[in-house]
Amino acid sequence: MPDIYLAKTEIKETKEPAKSRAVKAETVADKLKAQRTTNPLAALVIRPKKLTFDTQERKEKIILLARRHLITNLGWVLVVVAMIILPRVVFRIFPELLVSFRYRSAAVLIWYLFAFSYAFEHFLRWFFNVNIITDERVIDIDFPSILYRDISSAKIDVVQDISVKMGGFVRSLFNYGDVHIQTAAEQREFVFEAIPKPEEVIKILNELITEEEQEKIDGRVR
Amino acid sequence: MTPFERLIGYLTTLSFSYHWFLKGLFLFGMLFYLAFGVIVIRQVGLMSKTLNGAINLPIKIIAWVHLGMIILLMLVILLAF
Repeated sequence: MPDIYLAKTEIKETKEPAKSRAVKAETVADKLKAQRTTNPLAALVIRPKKLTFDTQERKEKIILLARRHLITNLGWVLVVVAMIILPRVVFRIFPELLVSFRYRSAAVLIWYLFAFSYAFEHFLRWFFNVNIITDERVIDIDFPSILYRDISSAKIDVVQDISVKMGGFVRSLFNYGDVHIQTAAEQREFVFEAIPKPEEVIKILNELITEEEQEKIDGRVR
Repeated sequence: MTPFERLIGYLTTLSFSYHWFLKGLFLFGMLFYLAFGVIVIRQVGLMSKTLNGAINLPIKIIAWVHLGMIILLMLVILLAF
């Protein structure tokens, strides 16, 4: 017999937990947040907070910024120390040189100002010649001479080969070396010169390459 | 006394002034240094524009102080000597 009346049965819809649907893979940028460097004068800065660069895109995150190791500044620092000591030594050896107090003080003041300029210029070169790795690109910012800048970049997905060159007593002692990055871009090779902890830089770069490949597979390419 | 005689007289009494020579030399050097100070300001501006970080302001201040010191020293040489 056909049923004329059927009581309503409550069918409970089993909702999928929101969490499982929106599983978001943790990016390298997120992972490195815990290791964030706060010292703006560090030679290796991981996930810098208050730092931007000229050609940065809106959603591009800086993963790493590398300068030459601090110890590479020793040469010019010693020169500056010698420049500070030099006037005393010279006037002790040649006491009759610029006998007049006026000329001597003017010469000494100019000399110290010159020493300051020399130190400042070298500091600027060290501080602003940087290599940057973002979640999308590898960037090399160079200031080879006064008022001249050279910025080159390559997408992470065109990086073909990465190698480290470390050798010598000082480099081994202070753990710094050159990272060579071969690319398929217009600029064939990027060299991160004398950067600290090169193996860590390579590790991060490799993780970024893997992430980029995964993004390509998932179709999430920016 | 003819102008020619006056010129000869002037040239024969002309003595070399060590003081003015040194002052001129210092000032000439400082002019180039002043140009360098201005270039450093522009260089810092370009660098800060390229890489904008937390200590860019102190660096800019140092560059201006550097230029100020050059101008001050130039004035000292010009007026106090």
